[in-house]
Amino acid sequence: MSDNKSFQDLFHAHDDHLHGEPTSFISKYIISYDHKVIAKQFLFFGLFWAFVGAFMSVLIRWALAFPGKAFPIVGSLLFPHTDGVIPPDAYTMLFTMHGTIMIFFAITPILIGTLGNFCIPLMIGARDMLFPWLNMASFWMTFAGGVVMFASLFVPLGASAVGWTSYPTLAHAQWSPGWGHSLWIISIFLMGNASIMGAINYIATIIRLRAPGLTAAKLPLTIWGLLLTAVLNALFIPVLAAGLLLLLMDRMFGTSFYLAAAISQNGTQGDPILYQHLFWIFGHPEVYIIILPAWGMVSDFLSFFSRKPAFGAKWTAGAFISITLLSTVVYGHHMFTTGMSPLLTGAFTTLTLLISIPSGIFFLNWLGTLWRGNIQFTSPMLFSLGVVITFGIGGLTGLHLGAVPTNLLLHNSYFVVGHFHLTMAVASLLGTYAAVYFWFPKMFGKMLSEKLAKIHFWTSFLPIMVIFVGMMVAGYAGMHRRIYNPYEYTYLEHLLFLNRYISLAAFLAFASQFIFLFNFFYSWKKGEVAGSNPWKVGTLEWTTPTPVPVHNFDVIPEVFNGPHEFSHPKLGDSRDWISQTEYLEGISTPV
Amino acid sequence: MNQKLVRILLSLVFLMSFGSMANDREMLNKQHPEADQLQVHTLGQRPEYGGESFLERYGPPENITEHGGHFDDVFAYVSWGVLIFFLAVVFGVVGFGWMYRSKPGRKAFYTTGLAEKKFTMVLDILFFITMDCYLIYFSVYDTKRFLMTVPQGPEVVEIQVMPQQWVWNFRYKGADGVFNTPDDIVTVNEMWVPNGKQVSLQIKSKDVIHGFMVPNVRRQVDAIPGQVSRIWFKPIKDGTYEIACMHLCGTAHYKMKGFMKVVDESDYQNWSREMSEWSAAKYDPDDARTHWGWQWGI
Repeated sequence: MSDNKSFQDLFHAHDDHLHGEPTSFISKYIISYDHKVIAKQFLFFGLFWAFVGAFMSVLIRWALAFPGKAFPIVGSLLFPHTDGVIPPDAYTMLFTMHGTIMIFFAITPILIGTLGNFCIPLMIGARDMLFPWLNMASFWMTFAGGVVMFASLFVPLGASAVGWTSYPTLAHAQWSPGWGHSLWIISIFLMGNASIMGAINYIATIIRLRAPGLTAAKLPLTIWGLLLTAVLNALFIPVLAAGLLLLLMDRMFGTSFYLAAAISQNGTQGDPILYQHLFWIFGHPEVYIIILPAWGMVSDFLSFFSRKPAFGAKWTAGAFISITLLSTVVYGHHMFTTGMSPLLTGAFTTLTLLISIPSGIFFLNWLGTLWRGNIQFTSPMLFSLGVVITFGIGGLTGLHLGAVPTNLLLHNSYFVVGHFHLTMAVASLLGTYAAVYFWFPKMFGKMLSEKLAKIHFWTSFLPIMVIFVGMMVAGYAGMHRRIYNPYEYTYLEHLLFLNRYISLAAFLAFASQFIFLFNFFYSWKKGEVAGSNPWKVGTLEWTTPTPVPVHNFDVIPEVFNGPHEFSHPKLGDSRDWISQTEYLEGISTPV
Repeated sequence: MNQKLVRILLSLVFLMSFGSMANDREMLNKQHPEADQLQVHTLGQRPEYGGESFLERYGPPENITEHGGHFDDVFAYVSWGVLIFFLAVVFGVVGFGWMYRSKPGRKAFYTTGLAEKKFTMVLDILFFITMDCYLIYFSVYDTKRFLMTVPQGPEVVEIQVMPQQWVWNFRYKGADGVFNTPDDIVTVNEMWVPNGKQVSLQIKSKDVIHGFMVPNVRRQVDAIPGQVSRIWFKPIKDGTYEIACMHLCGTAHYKMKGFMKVVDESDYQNWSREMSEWSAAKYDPDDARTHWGWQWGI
């Protein structure tokens, strides 16, 4: 730690005169080096794309619920050639772009970009990220990726239409011609680079810039989640980048890395399965990249609002670490149907199911945190409990898909769609909302309306359960994914009824997000002014004044307590929390 | 006032769903008139809405193979287990949330260290044994039983399948028992198999990746260009069943539907003989599109 301390003094001594208070509009809001401003940039970028992606899901659900009917109001503007009916090629583009946008341009920027940038320096007692320039570059490269992706929606022959997994050989120029998919690859490439920059920055910052006394055991679980996410990002995005680069060369320069000899133009032998390996080596850790920060935050929030220490916090962190390790060696369960060697399927099944052990540990720790607590149902707490429930059912149904017999039955069905939405989409979305409701007072200095937040929660959570549990039912009934009109198959005709209810729930959930948007912008302007510590929580970010000054901490704090020291018996009745920076005899450990 | 509002809203939702249901049925039937000709909707499928329990209505299509029921059993076991553990989570969240909700004067119980870990460990081990070990056992066991040993012998009906955008091509050996000869039977979108015989398929895609599945058979395999995939099963019930493409393969993926006709042994032999003779008679050496077979091999 002493080494750390001197390093930090050195760094911040420079930092103080390197960039003081920015003065011009551009240096303050556009090319900003301040992690708090970059966090907000990521937030608005992510909100824009989340709206686009969510609207696409509404179109998708419309096509499934009302096949052959014109989409109301804006349909004739979007699809003029078919009088507002969503045509099959547009449908294919819609679900491709919905998946891509939600994963890479909505959840990643908000959950990792915004909350990572905002929380890491504030929660570890640093004045900024270790590499502020890299941080700025990371946002603007993400932005460039967003611009390319947006442009790809308007090119001739349309946007990418091969599914977010972008499997060759469908992704080759012969079967998906035009610029759409090439731009898609370039955009993901840019986005991936931005993620690597961010990841390196997060890892370096968390390792080097922790305040004195902030040992691993005293680190909030949020930071643990963000750290492990960054590690996975730094390790596995390069694999995706390599896979996509080869695909781009196949598309544009006539190579045949992924083309079998029979169909390649130059007769050399490639293999489409190679791409699937490269993609899922990245793709399976990616779901943990997206969910780990949410797990960390939920673990913290459950403790904060039960007003008691996080149950078995060390074991929770240990469970996160072991899941991170396991997540790197289980990707094969995405490929059981490709004719994989039967020896490998058994190994991948075993490794996949082993994930349930650490998952069980942190799940029970979450319930243990609630046990005998003093639970306050604030909006972050409600959303956190929502994560526990949605991830509960989503994670458990992973058993069906990890095992070979049921995987052969359910692969590529709506069961999979329901499962992965509940785990990595909905659970991380609700986790993101919990985090935004929790840190909004620190970010913008105002409180969000609790009443609207609760309406938002219930009108999102209940429809979400209907949507995705309904999808799992449809999947077991045989409905396969990515089909424009399931009712082409007679054995799926009776699912129209179910699909219609799922869609109605989806429209309700979409509408409910406008409550959040209204709450966000209204409270930003006219909300109740938040104090510096409205939730009465002891982590370091709440020791700073609100609004947070550019350099966060006038004096780098010294940390004496863990992040979850609530209701300590020695505290007496006057209050139930201690700041991490308070030194109380008998409770704290000296630096 | 509130009750009235709720009632109006609920009836609107129901009207939206049911009101247009009749039209949709007509529209759906118009969309694929060929279904009427082939009479698929009467074979192995379920009747109109109503008269069934929820589980019956939303279960998968009828199982028609010897071992298909096993997949349903594993699914059922896992699903009940998942349901029990999920209910435990829900009771934990809702129950603790209710029991320990904030009240004036309540102070939370301060926990630290690992004193209460035993409960966690016991539950975790229980979960591991009941769910994980069961599934790992069946994954390995089923792999051995269904995926390792390709059925062979004169009794086995061997078929080569080559999907392309957006059609299923099937090839039978014909009378001479060898693939890639003039008497091969080549069909499009229609696969005939005899009832009660082991059927073994080799699948290779012509262009993009497709997925072969007959939902009534309960198993699927990907069709990949440049690589032979295998699947085998024993149908035990006559009827016409739909073959679905499970893998996104382009714009018309949703229309890539084939039919599997399970017929009596004698009917199959007649059909096979007639078709083989007809193929040999009509064989055109210049029609390159029909010469796509490969050596069977193992």
